[in-house]
Amino acid sequence: MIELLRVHDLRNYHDAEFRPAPGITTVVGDNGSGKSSLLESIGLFATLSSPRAPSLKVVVREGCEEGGARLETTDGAQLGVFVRNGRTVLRIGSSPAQARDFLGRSKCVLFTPEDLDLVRGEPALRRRAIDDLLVQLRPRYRSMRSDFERALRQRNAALRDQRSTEAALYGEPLAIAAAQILESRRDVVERLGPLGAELYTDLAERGSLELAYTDTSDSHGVTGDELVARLTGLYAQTLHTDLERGRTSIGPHRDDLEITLDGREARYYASRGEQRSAALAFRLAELRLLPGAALLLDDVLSELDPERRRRVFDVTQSEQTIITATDLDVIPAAAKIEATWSVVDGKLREAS
Amino acid sequence: MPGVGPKSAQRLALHILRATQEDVDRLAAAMHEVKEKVSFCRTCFNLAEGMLCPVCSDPGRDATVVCVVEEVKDLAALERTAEYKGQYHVLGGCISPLDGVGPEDLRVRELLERVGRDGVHEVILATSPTVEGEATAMYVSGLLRPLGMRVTRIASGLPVGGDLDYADEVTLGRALEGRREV
Ligand SMILES: [Zn+2]
Repeated sequence: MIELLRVHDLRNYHDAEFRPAPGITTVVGDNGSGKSSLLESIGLFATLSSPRAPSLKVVVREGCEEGGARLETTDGAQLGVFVRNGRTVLRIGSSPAQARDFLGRSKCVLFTPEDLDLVRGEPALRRRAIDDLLVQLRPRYRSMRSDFERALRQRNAALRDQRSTEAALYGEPLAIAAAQILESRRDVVERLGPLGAELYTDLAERGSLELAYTDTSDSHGVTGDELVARLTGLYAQTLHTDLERGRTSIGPHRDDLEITLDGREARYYASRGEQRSAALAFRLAELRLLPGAALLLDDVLSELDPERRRRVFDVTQSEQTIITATDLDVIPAAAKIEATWSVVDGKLREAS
Repeated sequence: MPGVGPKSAQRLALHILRATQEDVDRLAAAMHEVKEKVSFCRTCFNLAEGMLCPVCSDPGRDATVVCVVEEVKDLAALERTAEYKGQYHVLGGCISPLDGVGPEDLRVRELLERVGRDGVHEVILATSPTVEGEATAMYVSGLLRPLGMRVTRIASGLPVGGDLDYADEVTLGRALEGRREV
C-alpha cells in the first residue's frame, strides 16, 4: 500500500505531499487543479509510462529540467521515478535501479474517463490496457516489448526503403520478439476472461461477457519454438505484400482484444451503459490479478449512473482506492471514505 | 563529434579557452599524430599504428579463431577479459535499416575473404545482445556456415539492450566461454 507520495516538478506540482489512507481516499478539486496528474504520478511507479503522455518528457513541469516523484509503501520500500532530459531515472532506496527490478513493487490499476471507451475505441487502447497489466505482472515484459518495437521499426524501415534483403533479415528477430509478446498476451487474456465475466455479472448486468485475444497471425494454440518457426515463416511469406504496403501487416502491433456479450461483438451491439460496465469489469478483473494493487479512479464516477456507481463499490475489494472527483456527491453514501484531500492549483491539503 | 552534446561541447570550448597555449598546442599535436600514425589494421580493422594492430602482429595469438565484433570498443572490452587468445574482425557497425546501414556498409566481404584464405576453424559472433546485433549475427552466420567452419554465438546473459563495453569482464568472459554453435 502507498504510505506517502511526494511529487516534485511534475505537471502543475512544484513540491507536494500526499498520504492516502488504507481503504478509500478521495481527492476533490476543480478541472485542471492537478487531480489527474496526481494519479498519473502514482501510475508512473507501476508502468513507467503514462496513458496521457506518449513520452515522459511532457510530464515534467514547464521550465524544469527534472521532475519526478518518490513513493513510500507501508512495507517500507522507498521508490523514486525521475525524468531528466527525457530520460527516466529509477531509484530503490538510495541506489539507482533497473526497470526489471523496479516494476512490480508498487502496482495499480488506473481507470480514466478514456477507459470508458475501452470497448468501442481504437484497438491500440485495448492493446495498451493488456500491456500495462503485463508490465506489472512480469517485469521482463517491458524489455520484451521494446525489443519487439525495435525489430518492428527496423523491418518497417527496410520495407519503406524497398530493401528486401534487410526486410527479410529482420523477419526472424521480429518473429522471436513477437512470439514472446503473443504468448504473454494470450496467457493474460485467458486469465482475465473468467474474472471479467464474473465481475460483469456482479455489476448486475444481464448477459455473459467474454474476452478473447484476436491474433493476426492466426496461431491459436501454437507455442514456444513452434510459434517462432510459424511467425518466421509468415514474415517470409508476407515479405512481398509487405514490401508493396511499406509496413508489416501481421503481428502483435495489429492484434486486438475481442469483447463479446452473449456472443455478439460488444462494440457494435452493446448499449453505451453495457459498454461502460464491460470496461469496468475489465479493469476490476485486472485488480484481481494484481494482489495489493491500488485502484485509482480518475473522475469516472460522474460518468456512470447512480446505480452503476453503487455497484462499483459493492464489487471492489482493493486494500487502497483513490478516487478523484470535482464533487463528493458522486460517491455513494455506502462507500466508507477514510480520508479526504483537496487540491487547488497543484496544492494538496488533507481536509480535517 | 559523436557522443558530445551541445552542453558538453560548451564545456570543452570553455576548457580550451582557459587552458594555457602550451596545453592547447600539445592537444593539437596529439590530434595530428592520431590522424597521421593511427589507421585501421589491414587484417581485422582494429586501430593500428602500422599495417597491423597489436593483436594481429602478436605471434602468440591463435589465428584459427576469429571473433567478430561491431566496433573497436567491443574489441577493447573483450581484450580486458584477458581470456580470449584468438584474433578479431571489426565489422564497423551493425545492420540497421533505421540508420540506413546495410550489409554492404559493413566489412563483411573482407571477413569472408579472410576466413576463406587464412585457414580459420572457428568464427565467434560477438555482436551486441541487441535486436540489431542478433540480426547482424544471423546474417553473417548465414554466409559463413556454407564455408564449413564452426560458427558460434556468445552466450546471452549480458545486460539486455546493452553494449558489450558496458558488461563487466567476468560477465563477458562467461559469455565467451558459454558460446554455442549456431
Ligand atoms: Zn588486426
